[in-house]
Amino acid sequence: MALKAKKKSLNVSDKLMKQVSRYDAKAFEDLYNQTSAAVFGYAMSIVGNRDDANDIVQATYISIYEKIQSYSPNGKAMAWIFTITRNHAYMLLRDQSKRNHVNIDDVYDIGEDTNIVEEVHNEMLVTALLDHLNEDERQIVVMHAMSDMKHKDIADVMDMPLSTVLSKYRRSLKKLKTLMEVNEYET
Amino acid sequence: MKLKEIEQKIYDEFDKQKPELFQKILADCPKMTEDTPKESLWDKLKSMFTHKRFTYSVASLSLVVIFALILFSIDIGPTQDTYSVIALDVNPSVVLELNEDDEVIKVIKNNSDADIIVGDMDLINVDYNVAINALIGSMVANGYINELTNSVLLSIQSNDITHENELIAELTQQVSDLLSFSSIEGSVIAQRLKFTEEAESLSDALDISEAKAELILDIIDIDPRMQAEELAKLSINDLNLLLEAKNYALDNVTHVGQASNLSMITKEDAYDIALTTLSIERADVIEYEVELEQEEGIMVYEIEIETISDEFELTVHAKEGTVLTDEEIPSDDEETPDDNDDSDEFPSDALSDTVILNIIVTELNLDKTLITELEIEQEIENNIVFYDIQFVYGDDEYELEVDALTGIIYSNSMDESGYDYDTDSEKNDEDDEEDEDDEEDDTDEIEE
Repeated sequence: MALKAKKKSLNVSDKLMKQVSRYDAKAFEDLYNQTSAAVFGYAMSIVGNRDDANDIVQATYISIYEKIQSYSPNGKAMAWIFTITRNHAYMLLRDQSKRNHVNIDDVYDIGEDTNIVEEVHNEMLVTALLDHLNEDERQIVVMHAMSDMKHKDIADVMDMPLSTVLSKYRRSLKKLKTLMEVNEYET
Repeated sequence: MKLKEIEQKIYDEFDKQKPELFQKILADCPKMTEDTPKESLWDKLKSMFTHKRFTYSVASLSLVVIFALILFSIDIGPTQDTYSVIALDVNPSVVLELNEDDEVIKVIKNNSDADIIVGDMDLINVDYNVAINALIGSMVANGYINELTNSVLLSIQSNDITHENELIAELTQQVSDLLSFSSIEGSVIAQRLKFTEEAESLSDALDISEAKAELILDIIDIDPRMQAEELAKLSINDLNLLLEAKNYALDNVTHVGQASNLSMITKEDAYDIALTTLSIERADVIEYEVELEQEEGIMVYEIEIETISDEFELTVHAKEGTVLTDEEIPSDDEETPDDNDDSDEFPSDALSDTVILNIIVTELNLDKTLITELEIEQEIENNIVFYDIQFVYGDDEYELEVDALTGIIYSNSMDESGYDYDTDSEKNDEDDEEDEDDEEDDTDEIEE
């Protein structure tokens, strides 16, 4: 069985960003490996569709390459990357006029290997996240879950007061918890 | 299922689903090269000149000289760049500049107490851990840190934010441990240094260290009623006590341990002094409140006492126990603000009690119908009008100070991202404990 990545604080160093700004392909690959799950998850939280999320991931890293010279080292590289992702996601939604973007059937096909209970459970959780939380709630939860980014920085990316982000975050996680408990009970 | 498990599962799922697109992306990035490009001389110089540490420092002058020497191809040998900065403030104020290997390359003594602390110690080329051990040891040996003044302001900046985080975590623990070794229950305030021009100006104007100036500016940013000149007069330990009392949610500041209050009289003593001064029997008191505040750079207890017939307000010097002011507040005029200047009136354009309460329940995500024992008082301080609001919500007692014109919350005793929330509150709910743990990572968050 493949080892699972343990969730950890995703702190992209300015040193790495500096190396990327010197067009160091190895550093760029390191950046991709460190952050692509977070970028993908965040894109999913906005568009709710895997194909679109993949397109957003690709566009995000090309934008990072194009805009890296304008990044000012401030220790908040992840917030900068999430902002780029968010812009691409909204651009795509606008282009497609696709506001009703959460179609769970398109998102998660239960594959052959999903007889593993835990994986099914994870998929159900993400399905619940996409299905039952509103867009702001999804973005906040996913940004925090994928990067451990500070709520203050999430508030900056979302352009929301910190108190709103904190309350939405707590409410959302508790909502998910309740949904999963109901699910467990029913199954 | 615990809340952290939910986040872990979300992480696992998206980590599993993430696309492998790097090679495809790389094909669209023609400038990317497999060979690690070297940093050019110009990049190095540009980096040195744009480094914020150097934007104001006297070291800028040295850099201009170095730049000139390089231009004229004069070999001056290797130069050492400041990579990280560690400042220690108790009353002695010492700054250590470190190179990339975390060795001390410069020691700055900001005041005469720092001269005493450093003495004839040669800290140059010494590892920062050793230097910090020596400085803290010297502060204890010279009596600057003891049971009465146990607070240390630790301020850190590094070129690498990851290293900065490591230094903050490691040194906070190290200083705490060092004080424990000396049988002192210390308290460490840790902050990131930003080296702003505003802090530099304030430091010059008030003759305080830049680290203390940055902390003061952070406080004023949260609570505009506070005045820099007054806060500058407070010792680091007194500032720590004030921050604990207010539970401000300060950006970029973390806090461990409890500031010593042994140099002050207790709240109960202050209350007794007030009762004696006002010739009031304890049995006649309906309600009273004692709050630690600062006035004109002096730590004071502000005491409010309500009897059947009157309301009183008294200010007692927190260290000397002397009464500073004595004012009887007419109980039949609820519109009169609790302020020393009777000429001040609560402005007509202030938000109403109802509006303020609605703002609070919205901001804090509370159910208005569950609020009990609500008390709202109008206050004026330093020409700023605000509401002092207290209520009970479930098992929690809330105390808030809210700007009467804008609805901005200055302080909230139940703010989980607040300075002293963990020690002020006991939580039993497992999920809330998790939230609390989570918020420890976010102690630099600010209430907006």
